[in-house]
Amino acid sequence: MTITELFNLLVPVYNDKLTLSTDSNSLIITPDQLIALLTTLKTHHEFALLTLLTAVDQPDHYQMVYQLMSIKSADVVSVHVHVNKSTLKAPSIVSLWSAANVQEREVYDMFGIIFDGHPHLTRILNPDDYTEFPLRKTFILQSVDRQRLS
Amino acid sequence: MTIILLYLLSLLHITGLLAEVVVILFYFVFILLFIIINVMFIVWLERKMSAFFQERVGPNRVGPFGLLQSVVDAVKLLGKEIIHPKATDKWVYLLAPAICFVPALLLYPILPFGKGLVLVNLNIGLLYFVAISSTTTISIIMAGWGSNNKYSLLGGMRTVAQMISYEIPLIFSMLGIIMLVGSLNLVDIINAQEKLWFISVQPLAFIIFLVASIAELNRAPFDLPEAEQELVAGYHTEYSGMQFAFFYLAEYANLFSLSILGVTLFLGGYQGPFFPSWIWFIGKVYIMIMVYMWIRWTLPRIRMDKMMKLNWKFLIPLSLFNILATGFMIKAWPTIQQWMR
Amino acid sequence: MRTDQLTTQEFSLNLGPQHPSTHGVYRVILTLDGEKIVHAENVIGYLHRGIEKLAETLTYPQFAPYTDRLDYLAGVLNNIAYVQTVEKHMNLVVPERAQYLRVLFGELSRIASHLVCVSSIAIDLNSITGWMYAFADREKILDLFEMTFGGRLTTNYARIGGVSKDIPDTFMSKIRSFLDEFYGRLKDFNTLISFNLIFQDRTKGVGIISADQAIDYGLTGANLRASGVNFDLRKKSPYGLYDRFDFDVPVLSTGDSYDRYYIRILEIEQSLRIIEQVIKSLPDGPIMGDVPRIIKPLAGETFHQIEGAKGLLGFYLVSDGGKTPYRLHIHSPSFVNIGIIPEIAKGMLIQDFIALLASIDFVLGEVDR
Repeated sequence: MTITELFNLLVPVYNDKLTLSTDSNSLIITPDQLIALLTTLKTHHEFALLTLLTAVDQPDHYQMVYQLMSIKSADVVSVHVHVNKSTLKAPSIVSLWSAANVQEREVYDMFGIIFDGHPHLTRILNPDDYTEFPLRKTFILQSVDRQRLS
Repeated sequence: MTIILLYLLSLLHITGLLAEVVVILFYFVFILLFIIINVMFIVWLERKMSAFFQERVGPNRVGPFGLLQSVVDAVKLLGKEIIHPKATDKWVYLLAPAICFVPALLLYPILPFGKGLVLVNLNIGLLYFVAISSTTTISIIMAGWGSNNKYSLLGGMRTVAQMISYEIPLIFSMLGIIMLVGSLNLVDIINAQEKLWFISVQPLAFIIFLVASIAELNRAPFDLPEAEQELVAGYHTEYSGMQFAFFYLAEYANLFSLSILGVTLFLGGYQGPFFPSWIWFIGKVYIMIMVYMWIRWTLPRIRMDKMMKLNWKFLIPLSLFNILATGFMIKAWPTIQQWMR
Repeated sequence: MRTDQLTTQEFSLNLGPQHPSTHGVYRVILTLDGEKIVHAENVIGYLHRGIEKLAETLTYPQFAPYTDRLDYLAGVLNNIAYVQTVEKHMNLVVPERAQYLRVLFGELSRIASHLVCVSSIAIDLNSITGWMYAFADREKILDLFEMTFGGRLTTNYARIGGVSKDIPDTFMSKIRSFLDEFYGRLKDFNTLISFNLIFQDRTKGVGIISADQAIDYGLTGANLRASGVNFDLRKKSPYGLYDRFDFDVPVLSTGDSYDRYYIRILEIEQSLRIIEQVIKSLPDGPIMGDVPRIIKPLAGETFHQIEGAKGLLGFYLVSDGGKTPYRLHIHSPSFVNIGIIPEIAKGMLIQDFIALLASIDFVLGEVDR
């Protein structure tokens, strides 16, 4: 089924917390209902594999992107969550897929989003004492004065 | 040989105790040079053989066919900076290479290189060999502990388990031959093989000897103590330059001496028709060395607990069975011969 | 001395980043009790080059060479993944000959990558000869690459809309002689390694990953198929003309290191089948389609995945209509695959751990990006 059909199926459960994206390709859910929606998609609709977990720095919010894939048919469903730029909190889905562990750490490392319920949220790719969050649009890619590094 | 030397020295007016000391020094230098030249050749042989197995060429730049490669490597090792990590257990760390190399040297005087070419014809030659060769274990533990490095310690611990365990089947495999000959003297053992090499009456012992000696030599597939892929370099991680050269030299000197022992016990030593005895000797020893190399470059490494299992549950019972069978056959052979007539 | 009064102490051992058998600059902190692993922790990021951030400053064609450096052992497959993402976003039509050539070189890259994996498993168990055998064959594949487009490791072959260069005249005879020889050499390799008792002893029963664990930890590619899950994107959701070729998907059931090793040998054989079919039916035509001079995709987002050499390689592209991407995320299979290592390592011996690391087959270029 297409994303629109799936949306129509799920709207009665989540009411106005679930919306469809403008290009009709993704479901947008509020952070508090994320785990419930993903659990339904995983168990009831058999989207068993987590194939994407990342974030995008949109002008007014951070957009978390999740993609689930079905093993039988390789169908894909995409779920977006808007994270507030001042609170920076999002639920962790490590309880549903252990694969989310490293990927959420990467999002924390790059954007600074804190995941509630993550067992060990530390930096993974950048040095442990790094203070910046590189993939934010406020971080400009430029050479750093050598004096400052020492 | 000794007589000729003493005569030559008397011509120079050196007699008595001084002459004897000079003779001893001469033999010492001779053995040292013999070992070093042979070990260099074996190292070259190893590299060429591994290249042959792996469809490569091997050393071919220095000297004809790359023969001088080992010499050049030795010179390079001499010139390397000797780095002492600060936190090592100083004397243990420093003495380990020497304690590894000296037993390797001590084994050669009793080995027969040809007819009448044995330096010290010791009556307990075989016992002496086995006793001295087991002291190598001490040096490896010293190197592992003294380096103050976890990888070296792991290598040292593995060594204790492996080398001590595999000495048992090694010695047991020799017991059958001692029973057949009735003497520990290596020359007697060779003379007893005049008509028939012992490999044909003790085939099982030969196989056990082969497997156990690979484990004693720390060669693949039993090279856990220095497993590069797991322990960086095992017990000799922290050694550089000449100290590393000592370990390396000792390993190949042990390979050489254990091959000589194998040839002496099972393949008839220097016996053979037509050619002089030392040519037979060298030929047989090098064939045995090449068998060791062939095994090394073909097989992967065995796992620690499987290796222990192989020793205690398989090789030792097998070697005990061999002793039993040998004893039985020794007693029963005359009766069987009579029964066959 | 009573043994229940003897205490032992756990100690922590650092494996890497400089170590002969971690595959790249990868570090594991092991807590050991003797030789048994009690706890393992991955430390990565030594090869982090900030490729995703760099992508936001480069134009789409300029970014293509950066993708070679991801899974640098299978260069062409990374190119294909990126280029197909952009083409999917812009609905570009790629000529047939270009697509066939992409399949050909993609499968050759897959074989090259699998050869490195199986030989690395062999050399980690000290069969240096086995490593040499596989690398000799890999050299021939890299010669084929060099002959066509000049690069061996950093390929930059698939371009947006087609491929960069056509095959030269001598290519067909060279690949024919390579294939004729390779079947025999694969048999030799099998005799030396796959059916060797010591090798099987070291890898069978080591690091067993069940199908549920594999799906939970997001394993994809050969690792998933070795645990019994029949999932190959080339069959389930064919892209780039893979539905025209006849090949099987090997699936093994035990999920131990030997299965993960042997399934790669079987996959090499299947890739050879695909290559034979491509060579027979390669159509004529242009190698580059109709592509606008300046690539400015419309605003929107696209996610495209391919079956890479290490698993599902995905590119997530968000465009704002400009010449450079707004956000480009690379979903690399190796980054997700190493997440399972601390879990499986518990209770293993160090020797088995080395076999496990080699059989998971990760590449640090992909892990760290």
